[in-house]
Amino acid sequence: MVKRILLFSILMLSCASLALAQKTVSGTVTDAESGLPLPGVNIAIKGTLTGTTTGIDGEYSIQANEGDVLVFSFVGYQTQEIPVGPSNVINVALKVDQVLLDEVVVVGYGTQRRANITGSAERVIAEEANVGLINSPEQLFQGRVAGVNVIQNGGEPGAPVTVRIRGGTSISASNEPLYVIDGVPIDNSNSSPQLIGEGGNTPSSGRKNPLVFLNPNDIESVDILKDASAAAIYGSRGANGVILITTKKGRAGQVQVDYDGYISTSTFAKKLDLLTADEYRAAVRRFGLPENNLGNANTDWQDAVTRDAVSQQHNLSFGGGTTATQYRASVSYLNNEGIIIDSGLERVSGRINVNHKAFDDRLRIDTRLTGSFFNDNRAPFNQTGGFEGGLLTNVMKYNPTLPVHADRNGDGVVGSDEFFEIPGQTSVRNPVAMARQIADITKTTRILGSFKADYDFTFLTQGLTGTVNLGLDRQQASRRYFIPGANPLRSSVNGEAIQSNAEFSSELVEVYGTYARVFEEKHNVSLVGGYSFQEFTQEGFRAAAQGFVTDLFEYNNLAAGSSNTFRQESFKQKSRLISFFSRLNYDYKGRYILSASLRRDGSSRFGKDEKWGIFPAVTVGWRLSDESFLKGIKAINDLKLRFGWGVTGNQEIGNLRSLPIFGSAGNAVIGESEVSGVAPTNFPNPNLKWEETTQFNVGLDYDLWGSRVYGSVEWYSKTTDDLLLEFEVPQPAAVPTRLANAGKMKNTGVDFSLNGVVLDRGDLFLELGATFNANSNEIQNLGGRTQIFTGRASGAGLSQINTQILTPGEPFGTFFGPKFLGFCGVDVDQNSAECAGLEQGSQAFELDAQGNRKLQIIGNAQPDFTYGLTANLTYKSWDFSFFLRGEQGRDVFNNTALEYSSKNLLNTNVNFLRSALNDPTPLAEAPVWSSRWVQDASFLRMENITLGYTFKNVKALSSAVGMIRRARIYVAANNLFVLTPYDGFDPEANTEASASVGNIPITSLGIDYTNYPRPRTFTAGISLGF
Amino acid sequence: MNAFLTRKTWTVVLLAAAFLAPAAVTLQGCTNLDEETFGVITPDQFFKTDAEIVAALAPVYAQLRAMMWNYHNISELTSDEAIVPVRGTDWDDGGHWRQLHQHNWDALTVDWNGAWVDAYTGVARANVVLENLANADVDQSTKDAVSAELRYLRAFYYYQLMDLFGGVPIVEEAAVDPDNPPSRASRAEVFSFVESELNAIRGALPDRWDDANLGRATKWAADALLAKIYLNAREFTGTISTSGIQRGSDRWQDAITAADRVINSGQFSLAGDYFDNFRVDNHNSPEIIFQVGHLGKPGLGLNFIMRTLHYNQIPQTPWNGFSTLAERFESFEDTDRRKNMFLVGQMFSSPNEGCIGAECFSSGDPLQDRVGNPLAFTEEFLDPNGNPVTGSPIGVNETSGVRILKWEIDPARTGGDNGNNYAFFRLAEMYLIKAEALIRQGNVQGGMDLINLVRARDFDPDEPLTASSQEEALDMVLAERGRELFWEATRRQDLIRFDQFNRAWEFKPQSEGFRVVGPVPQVQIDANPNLTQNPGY
Repeated sequence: MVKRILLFSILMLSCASLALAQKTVSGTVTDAESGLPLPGVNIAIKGTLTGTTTGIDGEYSIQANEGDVLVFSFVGYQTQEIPVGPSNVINVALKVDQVLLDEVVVVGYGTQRRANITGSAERVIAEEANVGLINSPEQLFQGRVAGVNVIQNGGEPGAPVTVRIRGGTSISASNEPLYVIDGVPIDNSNSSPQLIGEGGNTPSSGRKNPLVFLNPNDIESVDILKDASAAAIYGSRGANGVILITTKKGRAGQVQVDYDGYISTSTFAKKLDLLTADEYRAAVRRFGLPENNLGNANTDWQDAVTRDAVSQQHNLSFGGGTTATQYRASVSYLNNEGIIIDSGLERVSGRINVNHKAFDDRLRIDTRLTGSFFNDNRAPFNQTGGFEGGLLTNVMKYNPTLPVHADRNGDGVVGSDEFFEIPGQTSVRNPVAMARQIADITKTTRILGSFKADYDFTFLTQGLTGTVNLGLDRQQASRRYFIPGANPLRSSVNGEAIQSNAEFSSELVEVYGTYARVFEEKHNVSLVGGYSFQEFTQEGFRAAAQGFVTDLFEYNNLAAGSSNTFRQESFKQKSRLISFFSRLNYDYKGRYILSASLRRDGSSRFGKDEKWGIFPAVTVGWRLSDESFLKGIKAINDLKLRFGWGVTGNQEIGNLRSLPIFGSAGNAVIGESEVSGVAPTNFPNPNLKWEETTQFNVGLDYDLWGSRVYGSVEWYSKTTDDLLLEFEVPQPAAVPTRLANAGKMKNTGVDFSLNGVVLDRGDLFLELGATFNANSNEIQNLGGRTQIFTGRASGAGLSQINTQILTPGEPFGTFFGPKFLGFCGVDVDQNSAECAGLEQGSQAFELDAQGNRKLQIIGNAQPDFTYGLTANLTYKSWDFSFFLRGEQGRDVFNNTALEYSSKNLLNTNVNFLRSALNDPTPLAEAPVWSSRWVQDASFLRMENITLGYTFKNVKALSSAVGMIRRARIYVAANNLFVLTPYDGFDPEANTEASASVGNIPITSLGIDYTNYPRPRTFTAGISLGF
Repeated sequence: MNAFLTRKTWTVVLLAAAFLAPAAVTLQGCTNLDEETFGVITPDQFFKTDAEIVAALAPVYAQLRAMMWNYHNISELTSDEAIVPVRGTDWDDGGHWRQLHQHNWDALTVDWNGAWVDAYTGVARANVVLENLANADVDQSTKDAVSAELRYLRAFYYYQLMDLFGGVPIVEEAAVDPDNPPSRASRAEVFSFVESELNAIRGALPDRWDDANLGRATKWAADALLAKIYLNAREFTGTISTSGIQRGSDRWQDAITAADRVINSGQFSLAGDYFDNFRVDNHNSPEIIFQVGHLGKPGLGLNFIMRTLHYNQIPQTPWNGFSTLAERFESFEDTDRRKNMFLVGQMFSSPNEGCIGAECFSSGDPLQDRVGNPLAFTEEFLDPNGNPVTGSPIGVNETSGVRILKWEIDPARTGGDNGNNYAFFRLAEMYLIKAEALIRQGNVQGGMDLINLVRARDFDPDEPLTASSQEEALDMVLAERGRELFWEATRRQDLIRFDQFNRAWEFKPQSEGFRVVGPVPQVQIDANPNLTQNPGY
């Protein structure tokens, strides 16, 4: 017999009470711990639309009948239900909600109670997220979740972020997780418009983080689906995990206005140890080199191009509404200055979220709209190729005895825009002039909107809901770039101007139904099934010109350039995803839990007969704590054992890879003019299909001693088959490489989290938390290939060198090169084979049988384990927290040190690192890539320390400055210190150094080359609620 | 009870059906996943007009420009003609430049793979167009003419592969099945293929093209290539073992016949000035038989000046790498006008654009190198303290080595891209090929006459050479080729033909015999397991 409980029994209950007489109930709602009044608490009469909220003093009054049930709810507190009795006064003390089991977790196409989650999913809510100078959502959860590794690739505001959930699963396809914002999966590819000829000799910082458009202050929670059983509902895009971002909604009640703002100052955290001007002069004299390039200045070029950057952010939001309609609107402004002069990020964003319920709550509408306008001002530093390099290369190189500004007239007066350049030299450029003179500005507008409607088909059957979800994501970016002829970089061509535009958009239509019922009070069944359609469009145009009569035109008049230098490019691409999906959740009394999902996914990117794939997942959970044999043990609140299995895919390979495509290629010069060519631009693979990642997950969730200790332990194993690999094809081939499903890669590891309330004594509360992940990655098969090289080294005399190898049996990110043995005559016997023919002090390397440097495995960029430690201490009105994060057993190739640890650079009038001055190498020795430059980059970083004060007696404050609901001030320090043996700017570096094989580069890991240094930041902020 | 079971069963069936629906549902219309294309085309849309045929032909010609890098570098740097020493911190580049010079390269040395891919890309592009041409919507006469050009170019690319690697797979189809890749043919089979292709199509190629089509293949381009392969026929039809090359039979008479067809074609004459073949407007030279066009535009130019000039010589910041050895520089008499191609001694600030060789950088202020020493190129390779470098070419200063400025600096260049065309075959070489074949046949005087015919324009007064024996005459042929064809990618081939490739020279010890061909690149063996490695590697 099916019993009908849920909403309708509640409704009936409320109908029954209508007969009783109404009266006014009033009272005060307070915080159970502090006893202080709580403003803004929702009070609703259960089963009706009637409700109110508490005022500034925590007081309320409401018309109710005896027998009604008042529901007191407030975010972060446990909801209380109190029946109205004879008394007209009901005072309530709400307890802080520390029990997470009733928390609702977003799982994709719906939500689930945390208690019943059997996949591996983690949630970070705004209150627990990282604080300080944060400009993108990934920074909110960096280090907070076991098995989710977030690496900031550099310190430039808006720099790209590498996110790896339980290790990378792919080689040629993307390893980044899928981001879903309010139910809309977004295109997170590099959408920043590219320059013509970017990299090489057109310095620029290149890629940017596409998520920077989203104001972190608007985020309510981030749910991370780590394993396949959780992510399989996203099918072909779930292999690298899914990050579900939910933005804040309004709450019923009085209008609440919140202001959050901070000001911060960022400083250069660590300088490289380059020679000072005096040391440089001394070195030139010591080696008897010509002194005609020595100037009289003492310039520290690292200081000259950096600054103490001041950043600020202001967020203003207001929200409120009735029980039927709630809204929240926010505006924010961020000005994030970079520590390198003339670089930074500025963002203005606005958001409106509105929810509405109608037809007795049967229809629920949720609309969300965000508009973001941001401005990237990039520093002209490029990290690959070109031995002349960009800004930071020249900071290393530039002779410290030379001045920043030129005294053109010799009268001792210099203008701020009169830069010194070495006469007759174009290969080394004044880095301050580069920063000041090269303009590289990108203006981006991004609009993301979603509309969702749920309708309960109560006239058909109970528990059946239909949902329509529509999403639109549109972004338009214009990039403007100018190198004046005044700069040596473009003096030979009289300046260069580039304009580049890109438009990315996607449209989403989803229809799905949910059927949720409880049978016989013990069988909980919920079923979701639906259809999804998403289409992505990318198009753009770029144009460049050189040869300007004057620098005054800048990038604003390309036609003023010389017409034979004009270059134009344009492109358009489209891709489409169509899916059918379903999920079944079943539990028996919450004790035995089953969840299964199935998605049939189609992608336009794959071969004609390979477009559709099926992605199943099954998990089971067993709540041990509900079994009689554990019931008696008081210490155990909750204990849940979970097993999961699932298959996910990866389709991030770019478009048009399965088709025979002819494009514009191979222009010939015939009859002294250019003849446009049309040639194959893709080696078609009609059998191209997804990578499939199969993942097993075993987990144990525990909650002990009344939530004093809680957390989880998990083991996982994931194997990627049909690994998408770009590799050389047998010749002859019009295109030398092809993308094929050919390899296999495996990740195995453990995630561990532990949280504990250490102290809970009245005023004093201390909670500690720890996360831990150890992942082991192994490439098992490369489609028969024994080795693929990547990790291209950069710098003078270092071209054509690959520093990483992909080979079966070894992890991704394995360094491969000569092994450094020491210095001849110092560490290595001068008469040994390794030192034969070498001068005393030369570097000696292990040799092979032929006498060449023996290439071997010399390190790995993936850490043995990563960990995070948090502490939260509150004492009365004070709160103090810190967050430590570390990685152990990882190597980084310090490409910067390799290039700039040679005193030979003195022979080219170029500066270098002090360590080289005292090493025994002879003056003429060139830099050599070897294990000497693969350094241990394990680290422990004090990511954040915060000290805050919350004004509890807001009433007193209110009388002074108006109606204040809450007030908090805080100071925070980010990146306060890093303990590491690594001697580059920062151990967390991931320079793009892929060796480009065909269209898709094979990515590298853990290479550090003239990275934008990561700053140390101090922030002071205030949060006010009105 | 019965009703209860029915309801339960019904519920289970319904749930199962709903859950499994995604696997079964395929709605028409909203499941269209055909990939749309924009800004690119698929082959079935193309090859409809003459203009489209020309557009498809262009990339096959364009690939000739790729010969200016890997093929050219290997031909020069493995010979005694050129070296890229490690200069201070520059040009170590993992040692591959030194490996080429010192003959200790291996299957991972990048240049070999580059050359393999460059030439085979040309082959593949030709095969793709040849296949599509069969079904194209154009006249049969156009098909025949274009097909002859494509087969000429393909033969030319196979000639490079045969020259560098010995036997290679011969493929005439548009696509190779990656799962069933081709095996290597023998070097002699490749030779026969190239020979028969050239003989088959030479008749279908025109005598000359109008100015608008200058650079396309002619009958004489086919004959010039035939002359070249016949000259090297003993090597190209021989076999190679770890100890060296076992030569096949000679084709001296065929070489003479092919060269004579060009010489007597009436289409070519020696340019009045040697350097007319290398100036920016060298397409006007009456001497050039087959050339690849360049323009001073990004990606379309010749960048020889970038490889050799010092950083401070022109604003484009050249790379200061390639130099010649003192021995080669000294092989030119001072009265030889061709010696002007070298830059040696103090350089001055004015490049004197429009000049050739030594006339450039001869006025203005004296230039300095980056450390502040006078920018004066030396014949010897010196370290920063001015002491000779011995053993390996490591620790060489910036100004060591004589530089090569044979191709005029293009005043209208863009970046490093210069508009000078590059001649693969010049009439002068046809004379030298015929001369060598005659001498090898025993006609020493006939050969020496031709050599002196070529030399005449470079000396005032004439300095003809005389040989008293066949042996002496052959030495003179090699030396004369070394001067006349300097930096024209013939030196490696010539040294091999004259058994001198493995001898020792500056910074290079005696090398193993098998190095007369390169290794099959490891990358290619990985991609095609049917490829076997050459002996010795």
